[in-house]
Amino acid sequence: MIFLLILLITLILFSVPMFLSIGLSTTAAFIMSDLPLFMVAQKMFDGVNSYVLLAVPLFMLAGGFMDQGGMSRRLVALSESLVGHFKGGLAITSVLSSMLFAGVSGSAAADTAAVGSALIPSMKKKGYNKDFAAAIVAAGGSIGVIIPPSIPMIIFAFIANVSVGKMFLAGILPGILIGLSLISVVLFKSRNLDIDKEDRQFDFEKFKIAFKESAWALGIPFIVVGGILGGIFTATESAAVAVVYALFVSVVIYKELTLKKIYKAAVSSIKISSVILIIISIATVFSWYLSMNNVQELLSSTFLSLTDNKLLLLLLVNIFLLVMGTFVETTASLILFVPVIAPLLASLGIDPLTSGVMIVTNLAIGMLTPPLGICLIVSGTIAESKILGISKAILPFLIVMIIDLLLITYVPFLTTYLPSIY
Amino acid sequence: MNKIASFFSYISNMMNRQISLFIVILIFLLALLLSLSVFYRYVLNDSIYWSGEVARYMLAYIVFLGSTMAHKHKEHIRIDMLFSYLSNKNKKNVDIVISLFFISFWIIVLLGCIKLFPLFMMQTTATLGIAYAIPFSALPISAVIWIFYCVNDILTLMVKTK
Repeated sequence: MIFLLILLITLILFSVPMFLSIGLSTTAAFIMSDLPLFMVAQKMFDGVNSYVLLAVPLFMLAGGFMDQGGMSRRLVALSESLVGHFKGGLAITSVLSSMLFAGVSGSAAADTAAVGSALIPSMKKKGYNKDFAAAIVAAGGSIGVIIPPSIPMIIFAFIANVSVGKMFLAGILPGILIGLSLISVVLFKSRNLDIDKEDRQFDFEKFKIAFKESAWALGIPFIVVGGILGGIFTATESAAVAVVYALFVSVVIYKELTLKKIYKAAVSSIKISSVILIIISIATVFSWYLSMNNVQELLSSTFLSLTDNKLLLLLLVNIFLLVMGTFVETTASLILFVPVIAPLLASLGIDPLTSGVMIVTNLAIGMLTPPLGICLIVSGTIAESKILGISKAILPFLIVMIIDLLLITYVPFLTTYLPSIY
Repeated sequence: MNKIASFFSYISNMMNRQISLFIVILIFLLALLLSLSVFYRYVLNDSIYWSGEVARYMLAYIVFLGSTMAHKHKEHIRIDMLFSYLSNKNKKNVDIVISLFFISFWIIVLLGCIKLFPLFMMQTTATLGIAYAIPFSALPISAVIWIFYCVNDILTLMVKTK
């Protein structure tokens, strides 16, 4: 068993693609245990033959249309009309638009790219330090996986066998908490910064125009969350409706999507989602093999042998996830660790929704940790800043997010209240 | 050698364009099907009873064929921290070895599919009652395309060395 893990990590480190690394390790495991190899093919197919996972490419596609079709730009304009007049206004705008955008797309990297390309250039022009600009955009973007709809939440729901709709509801309050705490860091930090010197007032007329322009885009979170809440459709169906709605708004109302742009957006969202889903497909086989050999039980009993104090154990799990989230890619971490951690937390009497949001928040923080944090890389590329510079600038935001994570872990109200009234 | 390589890359580019078009159409049909099933349920008080099953099988084609497309564009996730320190010549060698790994993995999958195929021709799906082999074919078809693309990658890399 140890051999398998060493093989897997060696392959990953030697730049073998994640999907193939898991595939080769799984095949090696089957050969060593004399299991028939045709089962790899059979279980790979079973791994993606799932109604829940259908939501992944559909939410990606809806996000692609919203970005290409001018919806994200209008959401940024709306946020700026609301909070742009504060000191540090553009940085606050970036957090607020990430939160709004998180409500319409499923992926943190996409949110970071959309908000970053709209705001980082103007932040630089207004005298913001480029590392600070990149850091706040990355931190805001990571909220994308916590506020619904969220792809990692769908994957968690799929593995842990909980309802996607409830998982989405559980993410709303924690997402708002993280957003507000990031904004307070911005307000605190920009007191002494030499930015936004001109004194500006909140302009109601400007807000009214921006709201009118973006009202169609704001319809999406209501359709998705409202539709699931009201029992009108399943999470998967809500993703399909979001695609049709986004296409309608971008083509008929905003008139910004050409046939060529539609095709390009479709191809790129299919590529991104099949990269994620093929990893899920093969990781399901790997995970099946591990559970056949009771590896998951072994791991969780190791955790339990360290301590049986609930609070301490939660802290240990969080530290483990934070370290892993820094090195292992999001989807792969979910498939590998959720089968271990979800039952462990359940045995401690923790609500699966709380553990889900906790695990996803850990991964969100992982997206911000240098050197592999995807949001950091995306926003750093847009701002043209060096990894060392952003690493320093991201630190206060990371600390605040870790405090938020502890709140989410130890205050179950945040995650269980909304699903309980549904 | 040069001629074979350019022939392979011509064919694989052409294949990739057709596959892209096919999956894009498929994903639009998927979104339409699921939206229609909501419409049928609430407005027409009827249900498209087969929509869930067909949608899942469409996903299988989107994922497996889509993964060949992502491979063609070199978009599969890999950690290249160590890789970036290698010399160009070693990078090329590592890439050739990885392509050989890919080919062996997909051959194993393909052989498994061939073994399962007679069984899945007999088995039928739950609601539609069609042969289970029809949705399952997404996997072996994609395996063949993957192998073809990887052979093409190796040929391209070897021509570059000369």
